[in-house]
Amino acid sequence: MTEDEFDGFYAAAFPRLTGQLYAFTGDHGEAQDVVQEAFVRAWDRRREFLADGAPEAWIRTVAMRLAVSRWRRARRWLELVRRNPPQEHTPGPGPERAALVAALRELPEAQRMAVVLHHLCDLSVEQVASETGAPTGTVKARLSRGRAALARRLGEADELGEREDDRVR
Amino acid sequence: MSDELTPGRRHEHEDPGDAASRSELTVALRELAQDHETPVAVPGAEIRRRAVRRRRRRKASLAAVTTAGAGALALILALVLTDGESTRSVPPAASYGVKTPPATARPSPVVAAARVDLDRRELIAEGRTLPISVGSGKSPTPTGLMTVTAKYKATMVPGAVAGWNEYSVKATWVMRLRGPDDRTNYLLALSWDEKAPGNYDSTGGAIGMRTVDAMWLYKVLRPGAVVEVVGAVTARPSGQPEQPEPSLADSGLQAPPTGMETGTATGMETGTETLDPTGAARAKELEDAARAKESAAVAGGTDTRP
Repeated sequence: MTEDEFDGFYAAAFPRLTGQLYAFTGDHGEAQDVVQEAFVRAWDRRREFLADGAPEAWIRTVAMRLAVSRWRRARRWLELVRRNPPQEHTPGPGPERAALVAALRELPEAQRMAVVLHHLCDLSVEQVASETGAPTGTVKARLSRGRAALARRLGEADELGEREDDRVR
Repeated sequence: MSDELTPGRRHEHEDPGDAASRSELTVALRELAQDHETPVAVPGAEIRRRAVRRRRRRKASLAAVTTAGAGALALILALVLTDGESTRSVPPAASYGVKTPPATARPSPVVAAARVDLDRRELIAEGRTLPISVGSGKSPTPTGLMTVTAKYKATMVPGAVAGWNEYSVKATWVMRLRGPDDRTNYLLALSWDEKAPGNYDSTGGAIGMRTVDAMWLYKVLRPGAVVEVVGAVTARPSGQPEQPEPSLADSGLQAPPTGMETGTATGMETGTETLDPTGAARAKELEDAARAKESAAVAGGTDTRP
């Protein structure tokens, strides 16, 4: 991969990947950070990264793993130490999006990763399994539990929204 | 990109009941992700520069750590060696240069716990004789004194050693051996070929036993135990000195290199079995054999000895 090819690939894939990572982390800065870091590592390990045959998937895997470990670290103390919560840089998402993000963030990490990989990144159950190192049965369970939890939370949020709507009306 | 997969192929094995809610979720997630796509913040060149810079830094720190580590290791080694030399009383379990004393002196640390006879295809341990199957042809079982370095109820062993074409193969009741030249070999249960032990050689160098025997031996041998492997059914790779035949080396006889290196199994057997007491006669015989072989090779091309 020449420098130009890498730059082109980076420019094309970066936005898409940050979107996907945002769905996983629910944090903008975090998503950008891990994707950028993944690209730095990719250039450092060009050979390995090209041998994989699916460069974007490689970057996503690395970024997700980074996010997971950061998430863990963050959950331990960084979030507590941080005085002000991370501010959103983009204009706030619509209410149902906010609800989805909130619901996603409440999911256990494994379920969240399975849901994002399967439903957003279009990986098959088997691919998710190999990506996360869990048996396919486990992945299926995580998916169905994750979906159920999301549906429950979003359902609650919907009711809440409707009630508020009623009140407004 | 190339990793974009066709959606829809992943739903085939799932319950179609809540497909609607699932696709809804997919749509919602996609919209969410799309909304939060961020443009490139740093140009690609900067990413590459960071990678290069980091690599340089890593190299520098690695070098520093290595030098520090080497210094520390040298210090520790010096301390351990000067300390250990005086208090050491037990010789190592297996020292390869020393010839094994006869198996009557049991408490001596260099006594072999098991003896493997490749010619007779048997292993003798604790008075029991177990049939074995060993390496043949191009991959004979190395001989000499081996030390049991590890035991596994089940583990992966290299396919070449076990006699398989695959990269590695799962074997049970495995005892790992380390022999002269630091070569690794295995005692294991030939669970895939229970008929081989005692009858024919089927491995790529490993010493295979019937599963029941391997299980028994697994209990008998402890890590550190010495296993003596003697005899040779087939040709050894060149450069491996023949251990159990000191008389040959003593008489100062070197086999003619061409004859021995191209020697087939039968050639080696006649070479070791028809031992002539007089060295000169034996040398002549070997020379004759080599010459005959050479002429045969020149004449016919293929090696077909009478």
